[in-house]
Amino acid sequence: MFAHRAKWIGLGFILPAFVLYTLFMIYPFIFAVYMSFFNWNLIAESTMNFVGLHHYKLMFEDPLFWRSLRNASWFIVGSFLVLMPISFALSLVVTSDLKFKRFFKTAFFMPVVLPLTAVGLMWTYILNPNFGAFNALLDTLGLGGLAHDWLGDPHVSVYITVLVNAWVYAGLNMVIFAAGLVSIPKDIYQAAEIDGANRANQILKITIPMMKETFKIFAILAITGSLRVFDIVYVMTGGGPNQMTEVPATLLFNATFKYNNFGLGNSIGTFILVVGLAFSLILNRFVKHDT
Amino acid sequence: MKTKKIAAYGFAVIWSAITLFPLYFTLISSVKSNTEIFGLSAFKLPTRYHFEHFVRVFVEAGLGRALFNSFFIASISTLLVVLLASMASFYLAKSTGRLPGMLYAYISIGIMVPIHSTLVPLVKLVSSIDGYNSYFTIIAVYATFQIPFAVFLITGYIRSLNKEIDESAMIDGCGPVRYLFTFVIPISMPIISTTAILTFLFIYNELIFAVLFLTKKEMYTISLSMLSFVGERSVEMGPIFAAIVIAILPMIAVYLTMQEKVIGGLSSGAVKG
Repeated sequence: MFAHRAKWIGLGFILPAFVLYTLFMIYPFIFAVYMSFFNWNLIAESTMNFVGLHHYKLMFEDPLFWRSLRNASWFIVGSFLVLMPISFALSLVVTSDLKFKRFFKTAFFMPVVLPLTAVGLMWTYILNPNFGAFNALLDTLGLGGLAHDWLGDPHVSVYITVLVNAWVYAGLNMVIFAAGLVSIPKDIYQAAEIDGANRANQILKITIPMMKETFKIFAILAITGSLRVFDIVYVMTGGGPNQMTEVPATLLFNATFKYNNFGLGNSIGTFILVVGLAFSLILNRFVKHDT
Repeated sequence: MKTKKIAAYGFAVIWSAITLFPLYFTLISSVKSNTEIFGLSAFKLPTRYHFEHFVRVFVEAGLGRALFNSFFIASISTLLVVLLASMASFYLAKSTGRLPGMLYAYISIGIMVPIHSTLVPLVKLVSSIDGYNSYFTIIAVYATFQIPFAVFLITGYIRSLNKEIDESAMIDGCGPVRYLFTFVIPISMPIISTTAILTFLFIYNELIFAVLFLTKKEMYTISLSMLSFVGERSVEMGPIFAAIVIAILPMIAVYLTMQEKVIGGLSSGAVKG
């Protein structure tokens, strides 16, 4: 299209997107790395002193930072132990010949479209020790002894946020698994049936091996997604009680905007950036390699 | 065979209940009085329906205004994303050489950047241009963060289109601007509508940029307004639940009316992002 004319006309089409993108995304992204080597504060006129790797040293010595990483790894563990089996089972339901599967699909996917703020609040109140439905449910099941201030107990609150996160994303991963399921040719199952393989055997010996790529995609999403968790934790616990549920993104937010610890905020920002980009690149390569 | 089917139904029903119960709980609590929320079982319907909670939240707590803000900001940002990304994609898909390839790679970086790492510098940037509490800033920031993925989707689609029309359009003397708006954009409507829905949902649901850049009440988005309302009125539960209902209803409406598009868009968004 642009070959016959001056190439510069074409550049006009990309210029507005290019300018916005460079100003609001690439510039902050480079500046974040640059600023992490300086002592500074949010006031625009203040002077910046070069301190080298000082903030990184402090960050790696900070137990809070390691705790936020440990909590992020709970999100990864939860993705594989809870989210993956549930999503996979849901995808079997919506690709089966069950009646009402359209209704089921609609219901299963619903949490994905809701604002995470609303989801966080809904679950906070369901888990509320005074009037929440969860303790009431335990009571009716005769398990009243287990009733708890779920989000107020530092030993369980992080697991609760992991489970709520799984509740949100089960529907989304269901669709990803379902796409993998429908791409498996039907005649393989017919052949297996003739050979006398039952359904459980078919899933173990045919479905799961043939969906290797889909499981890899899930693994990438689970790891990169777990490192990016913010909204659910911010709304449900704010990183508390006692900063026990901090994940890297909430720690960055709280350190910078709540405790004015800009050095820590910026070094975590750079850390998230480097680790996030590295994971995306490595894992993407790892998938493409095998396809 | 029978028992397996029952197990499958059982699982499907239980997970549907787990998925839908929070919505039910929020909905019935939104019309309960405080005494019933604390006294009555969480599963029971109220004895008297307090619909006035909705009026109070909508008018007094300013959720009406916040709903307008969210829709306004999300719609304008979506329009901007679709327009700028279509233009950029048109150039990237239709021109050859090293420069477009480099520009495409440059914009693709944006798909992988974790947004939280840019927060602190963005705050510094916005404060240096005095950009707090402005529709202009928040729309520019939201649009920017959606552009990379939109470019990725739309460029892919335009590249897959038949190239013969390009030739005939040029022979007929159709300039690139007219060609983009009268041919390419209408033909690319399937991917543009997916991009638009995805962008709209993401921006309507977004929280962190709103927390950082909108500090005046009349600028609050729905998520922000809901959070601040919870902070102020932690003793009156009914209106808080009503606020949550007001925030989620538009998304449920969008979802139920455009289900296939929404599911397709969000899952492609997840896989590529």
